[in-house]
Parts: sequence; C-alpha cells; structure tokens
Amino acid sequence: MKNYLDLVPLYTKTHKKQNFMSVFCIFLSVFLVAAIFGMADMYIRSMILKTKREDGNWHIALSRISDEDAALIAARPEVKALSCYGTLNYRLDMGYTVADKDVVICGADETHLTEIYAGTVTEGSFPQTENEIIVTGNAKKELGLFLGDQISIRDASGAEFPYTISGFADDLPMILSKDIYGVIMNTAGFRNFYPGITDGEPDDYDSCFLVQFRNHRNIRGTINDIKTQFQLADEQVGEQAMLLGLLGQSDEGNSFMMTIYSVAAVLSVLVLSAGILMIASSLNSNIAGRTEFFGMLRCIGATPKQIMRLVHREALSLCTFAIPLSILSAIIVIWMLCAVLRLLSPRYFADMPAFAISIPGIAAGITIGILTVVLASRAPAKRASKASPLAAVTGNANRLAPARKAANTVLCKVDTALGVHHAKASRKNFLLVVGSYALSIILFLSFSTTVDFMKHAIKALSPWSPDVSIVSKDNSCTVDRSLLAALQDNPAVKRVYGRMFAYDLPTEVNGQTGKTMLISYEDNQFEWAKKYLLDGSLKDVQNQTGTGLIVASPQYDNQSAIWTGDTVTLTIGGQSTDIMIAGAVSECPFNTADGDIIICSEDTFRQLTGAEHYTILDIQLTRKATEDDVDAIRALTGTDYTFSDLRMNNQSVLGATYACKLFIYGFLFLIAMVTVCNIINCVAMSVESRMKQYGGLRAIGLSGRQLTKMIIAETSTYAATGGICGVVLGLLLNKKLFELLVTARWSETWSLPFAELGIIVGIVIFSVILAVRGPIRKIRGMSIIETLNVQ
Amino acid sequence: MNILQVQNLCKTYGKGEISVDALRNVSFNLDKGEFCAIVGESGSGKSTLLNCIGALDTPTSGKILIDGNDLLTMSEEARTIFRRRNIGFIFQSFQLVPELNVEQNISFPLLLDYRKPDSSAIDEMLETLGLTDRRHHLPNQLSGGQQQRVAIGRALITHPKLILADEPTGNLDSRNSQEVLDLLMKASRHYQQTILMITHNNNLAVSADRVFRVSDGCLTDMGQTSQSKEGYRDEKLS
Repeated sequence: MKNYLDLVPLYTKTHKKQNFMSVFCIFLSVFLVAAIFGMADMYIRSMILKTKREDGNWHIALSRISDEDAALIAARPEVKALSCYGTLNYRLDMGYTVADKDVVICGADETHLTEIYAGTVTEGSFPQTENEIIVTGNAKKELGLFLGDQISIRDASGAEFPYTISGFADDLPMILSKDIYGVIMNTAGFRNFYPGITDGEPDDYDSCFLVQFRNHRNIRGTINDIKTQFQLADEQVGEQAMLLGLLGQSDEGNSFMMTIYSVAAVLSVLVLSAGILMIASSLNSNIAGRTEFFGMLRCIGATPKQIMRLVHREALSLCTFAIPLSILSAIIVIWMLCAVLRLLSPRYFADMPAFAISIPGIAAGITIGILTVVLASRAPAKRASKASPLAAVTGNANRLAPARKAANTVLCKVDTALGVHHAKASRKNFLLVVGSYALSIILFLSFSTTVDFMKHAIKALSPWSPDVSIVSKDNSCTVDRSLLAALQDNPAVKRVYGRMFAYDLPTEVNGQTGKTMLISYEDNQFEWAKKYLLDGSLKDVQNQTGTGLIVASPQYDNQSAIWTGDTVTLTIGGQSTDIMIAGAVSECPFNTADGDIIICSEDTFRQLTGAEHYTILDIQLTRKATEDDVDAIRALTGTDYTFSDLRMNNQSVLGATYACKLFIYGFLFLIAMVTVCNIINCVAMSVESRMKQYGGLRAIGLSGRQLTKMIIAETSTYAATGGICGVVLGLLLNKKLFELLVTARWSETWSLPFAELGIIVGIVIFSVILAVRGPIRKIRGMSIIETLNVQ
Repeated sequence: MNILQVQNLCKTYGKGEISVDALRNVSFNLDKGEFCAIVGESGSGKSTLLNCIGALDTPTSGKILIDGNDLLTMSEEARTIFRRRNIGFIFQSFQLVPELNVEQNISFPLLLDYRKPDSSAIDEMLETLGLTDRRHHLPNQLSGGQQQRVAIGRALITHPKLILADEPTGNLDSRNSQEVLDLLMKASRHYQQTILMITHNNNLAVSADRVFRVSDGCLTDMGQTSQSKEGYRDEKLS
C-alpha cells in the first residue's frame, strides 16, 4: 500500500456481497443509458438506410445551374458525388409509352446509379451511348426482354424511338403500384430525347443536379458556401430534408425536429435523475452500514475530506466492473434488436451490420454512468465524513437513523405501524426512495406519449391494405365480377374483395344539395368497418337494401351534414333515388376532397346504379405467395385493367413501423424493467439495513407472518407515496409532451392515458409483490441468531 | 417443578476438519423461581447454550423442554408464539425497538400478540422500573441503564416462565449493573420466574441461586452459592 486510497480495492475485493447492490444499480443505469442511446442510434441508422434506399443518397438538389458550375461543384473536396438527374412524363400526362404502357423516362449520370441510388442496376451496365437504355425489372419480366434487345419509346404523336437495352434496374414502389414502366438514359441521351428544345432552351431539361456530400459534419456550412460562391437563390437549392434531418443537418422543418430533440432531452434528464437516485440510495445504504468503519478511520487520523475521497474512489472503483459489463450487455441487446429488425423487414434492414457497435451509445453510457456515480456519491460521501470517531470506540454506531417520533400503534397493528414507520424513519432516505419510484413512473408516463406520436406519424398498414389491386383504367365499374370468383379459388390469395364506385353523384338532403361518392362494401369490409362505427347499425346496411353508411371522419374538414336517420336523394343517370342513412363510420379507405362518402352493400349499389361489375378488386396474398403466383394473377388479369402491385409500398410502411415500434416499445420495456429492478433493489437494501433489528424483533416474538406484514407495509408506504407523486407529475408531463408532440401537429386533444396508467400501476404492484418475496424468504431461511449477528 | 430441562445438548459449527463443538452433551434442569448464572470464558459456549434454549439457534442434537414443551418440534410460527408468551429475553445490547417509546417497547410482546395492554399493569411495571417519567421517551433519549430497564420490563410484561439474560449488565456501569440485578432478582422472587443469566461479573454471579460454569462446551454445575442458599431457603419457606 502506497496510499491510503489503496484501501479501496482491498475493501471492495473482500466485501463483494455488500457492494453487489451498488454495482447492480450502476450496471442498470449505465445499461439503460447505453441501450437508449444505442437504440436511438440504431433507429436513426435504420431510417437513414431506408431513406437512402427509397429516396436516394443525396443531400441537396441544385436546379438551373450550368454544367460548368456543376463540374466546379463536383470538384469540391466536400462533394462525394454529383449527378445530373431529370425526368419526363413523371406525372404520366405526356403520353410516352412502352408496349402501350405508360413510361417514366429518367436521365442521369452514371454516378446516379453507383452512388445516389447504389445497387439499382441489377443486370448489365449504365448506358454508354445515347442509344442505350436501362429498363425496370417489371418491363423485363412482362415483355420478356434480354440485354441487347431493342425497345421503342412511343411519344404522344405515335413516333417511335428505338433503344438498345444495356441493363435492367430494380423496380420502384411507384412503378409497381401504378403499373407502369421506367427507363433510364444517360444525360446526353436524355437531353437529346427531351422534346421542345430549341437552341438549347429551356436549358434545364427539367433536370437538377443531385449532390452527395462526403463529410456529414458541416453540410449546412458547405451548402451556404456553395450558395454564396455560385450566387444561388434559395429556390435553386432543394434539400433532402428527411436525410439531412436524420444526419442532424436539416434546416427545413427544424422547429419540429427541435421539438423532438427537446423531448429527447427532457427524457434523458429524467433517465439521468432516475439513475442518480437509484445509485445514491444504494450507496447511502452501503455507507450507513459502515459508520463504525468510518469512525475507526477517523479515530486513527483520517480527515473528513479523506473519508469523502475514499467514498468517491470506492464508488468509482465499482464502475470499473459495472460499466464494462453494462456496456457489453447493451451492445448484446442492440445486436439482438438489429437481428430482429433484419428478420422483420429484410428488404430495408438487410444492410444493417450484424454486429453494430454504437459509439454514441457507448460514449453516452460511460460518460453518463461516471457522471451519475460521481453525483450520486456526493451525499453518501458527506455522510461518511460525518461519522463520529466515538462511534468506533463505543461500538454504538447505530446504522439506522435515530427515530424522531414514536410509531403510531393505536391506529394500526404494531407490525404494520412499525413497517410504515421504518419507511418514514429517515426523511432523506424516504425522499430518495419515493423519488426514485416516482421518477420511474414519470419516465414511463412521459415516454408513453411517443406511442401516440408514432401512431400519428407512421401510418400503419390498415387491415384492408391490399398487396395487389386490379383497378379499372377509367375508374368505372368495369372489372369483371367473374374475376373475383377466379381469384377466390387461387391458393396464393388469402382474401379478395371488390368495391364499386360512383363518383360525384348530385345529392339532396334536408333541403341542401351537394355531391357524394357512393362505394359498395362486401362482408370483409363491413367487418373491418365495425371498429369505426360511430352510430347506427352495420347489419342494417348489410342486410337491407336502400340503406347506407355516412363517413363522418372528424379528421377531415369536410364534416358531413348528413347523419343517421336522414334520407339522401341521389341523382343517378338523371333519375332520383333515395337512400336511407342507417349508420355512421369514422374511417374508410378513401377520402374525397369535397362532398360526402356513402357506403352501401353491393345489392344496394346495384339497385341504385344498375352497375354489375367492380371498379377495384383488392387482393391480400398468403404468406407463402411467390413471385410466380403474382405473375399468374397478373396473367389472369390481362391488360384491360391496371395491375397495381403495392407490396413494396407495404414493405416500406412495415419497415418504418417495425423500426419505430421496436425503439419505442423497447424503451418502454426498459423503463418498466428499471421500475421493477428499482423497487426490488430498494426493498432488498432496506431489509438488509434492518436485518439486525429484525433479528432482535424475532427474538422477542415477532412471527414470520408479522415480519412479512411489516416489510409489506414498509414497501407499500414507499410505493403508495411514490406512486401518487409519480402519477400526478407523470400525468402533467404526459399532457405537456402530448401537446408538444401530437396536439401541435395533428390537433388531437389529450385524454387521460388509462391504459398506460394501468400498466405502470400494475408494474409497481407486481414489483412490490416480487420485491418482498426474496428478502422475506431469505430472513425466514436464516436462524434468529444469524440475523442478529449480521454485520 | 422443572421449568427447564436440557438433555444431552450438542451444538457443532462447521463440518469435517474445521468443525467446532460449541456445546458437548450439556444436561441440566431448572426449577420454577430459580435464579441461575452461567459463567465462563469468552467463546466457551455460554451464548450458544442460551440461544439454543431460547430457540434462537438450532442445536445439533439433544432435547430442550420448557414447561414440558419441546420447542424444537414446533413449527416456526408456533415456536415464535410460544417464545413470545413464555420466554423473556434480555440482551447485552438491549435490542429495543428504536421507533417505539418506553411504554410501547414494554408492551411490545403484548402488541405482537394483538392484545390490548392493561394500562394498570404497564403503570405498575413503569413504577417498578423507575421509568414512569420516561414513558413517552424514545430509546435514543435514554441512558444505557434506563434502556436495559426497559428491556427488563419488556421481558417481564407477559409474566413468562423463563427469562434468558445474555450479559444484561455488559454495557452498564457498576451502579446500573447492581440496579438491573436487583430488578431481576426482585422479579424472580415476586413472580416466581426462572432466570438464566450469563455474566462475566463474579460479584453478580454470587448473587444467583445456582452457578453453572461452561468451559469448552461442557457445563459444570457449581452448585448453590452460599449467599443465595439462605435467601432461596427463606423464599421457599415463606
């Protein structure tokens, strides 16, 4: 030993059992922080991957700049890739077709497919000449194309433009859902093809230059620099707000991002406070049990400052074991979550590294862990430094704080009275424990608002979302109903359901005129509509012809004046006919900008309109459905209808939902776990500190049952007080955060979160039951003399 | 009449080579109203013997009967209730409940039995102990001697048949020690209670009716002390 502080490792080595609780608390706090930051990092990474894959890996789009300026920008060291990119017939309104199907024509540089949309080319190479072209995979499949084949683009006038296929590209969700083709030319070929150019005017070819920056640290500064250098107006610089936002470099929509960051900051402070309280109470209990030891040190000449230093060092020495262990555990948890994400949505998260290490997570865990321990050890260190040297000499160091007031044995039985009194014996300890209980509840209730946020921000797949739709090309009722029966027999089809539409029907109700969209539902759709029924009866509409449902969604501005009981007069084909409104629903798969939506049964629809066939057939596929099955359905459909393949869109929605859910529910689970562990820890520490006293009480006649009651009374006092404080403050914070995250954006008003409240109160009660079991069993397993002799 | 019968009591700590025999075939009986002292060196097994008798610790073998009841065959719950009602404990370190005042501490065994303490009995006990003016004080507001008197009051309040005292004067000065001893003797005589007391103090030991010596786990009956012979005889006669 060279220094008195060398006592610390010697002490911790020989008192592992006493230090276990403190090590566990540090482990839990650091694990929580590292896991939170790691999960947040993982969430951002997954969203970056998703955004890059769906929207391209570019940061800004520069329009109306010359090729010379573009070349100068590309040469900047901050710029990793720059690609010219333009489209023709993007809105499918210019009449370009390939094999009679609408086609979107895209012009780009090679870097576009190597850097911006990396991995898009599945076969072949980028067009090297103006006569070469890349076509999308659906064209290859449907038209039976091969590399080197000739393909013609036809314009609105019927003129044919032949091209040689140099490669095939991945399908985009938009291409499949609209049942169109896509082609990619090189920039020179695109400019050559672009119509209406006279003497190079207009010279932008409806194109822009997509820029990808090398370094993500100062993108804002680089953008401003480019703007200044090339004298670009704000309108000339478009930003990929989603990607920049995820990289923390967004300027657009900053206020909302800032709101999210400020919410994250509030939650981090809460986590930090919970950690401090938890560690402080465990260290406090550890120190309280060693008053004699510190008194002895004071006796032999240690100054109060030296004692404080000793306690600080001891607390930090516990970190040397707890922090690496918790970081390792957090990394393993994150790996598991990454694996789950890859499994759930392989298309979007396949690129996530199998064994990702989150540097921000580890750094935050270590920093906040050490900070928490340093802050948490302040009060116990002060307490230890105040240990009287006399305590060591007389051996009268009472590890428990002296009672100030006698327990009330009149109001309740002595065992219960003592339990309640034990909880309140030390005001500081009471506040610490109650505070940590309350904080766990506050944290849970606060963070649960993110679930509401998620529900609004991410539009999850509805039960009626189809994988494939067969749509009438002119939105009329022309999709043959015999197709429905054929599809129902297909083993790859899980569910198929049709809808008939009649648009803009003039209506009159209660003397008011308007326009209505009439939609037919079948049994499946009526079943899904049950959840959204506001008034009336679905069964009446299903079974009685001449009745309908009004869609009265509060989220749309066009609140309908029609309600259950009204009779609406529809004018169809010049003839007036009545429909009785038998119910109201809040939601339907469609909305209309103006006018009402009335849903009716197929029989009613046929009776009112005379239509026999469907406007749209929606198909949900079985899990086992293969690409060949989809091709077979496509072949069955023929070319008379639009075959809208929505599977990629659905996967995108699912991917985002999984990532978000995993993060939010994972965090809520961790908070719940902290609540459970915290309560178990608090009870174990409290029992440990009173072990000797319990021994004495047992010696003079306290039975095991009475001891159980005493410990339950003590724990319940903490839980009830902490619960009430936590619920009150938690609800206040829940309301505030809800208003910030949800009300401000979607105008939904806050209501009491009964489910979350029930869950956290349930968790607290469950934890109390779980917490008292262990210590009681332990004491009962010990002989009285063993408990009396506890050090 | 035998209140306490100890037969072939053995207690061994540890196993194999490191085992230590704390008690070896200890046997003795105590009559009702007897006041006995146990003396012996530190680590000789005195406290182990007392703890085994009070069922605070479990002997390795042997039998203990208190008023004919075998504590070791009882369930934990029944043993606790029996101990609460029939055995009074007095510890060197008092073992008072810090959250209860003097009056509550004395009536604590009754409260554990969910019985309403008889206020006149409590008043009488406080009077006997000289603690009437301290009845609402908490233990930390009392001197060592006063705390031990509270512990004695707690041990006596249920009128137990047997009182076990483990160095009750160990933490007290000579004046307080004598007071505590006088109280115990008074109780023994007045309520016909059997007292078994461990002490290091030879002066206190001679005040007892009988003295046992424990050495290396073996108990030797030293017989009646000359001082007590007369007192005990007088008491019996009266």
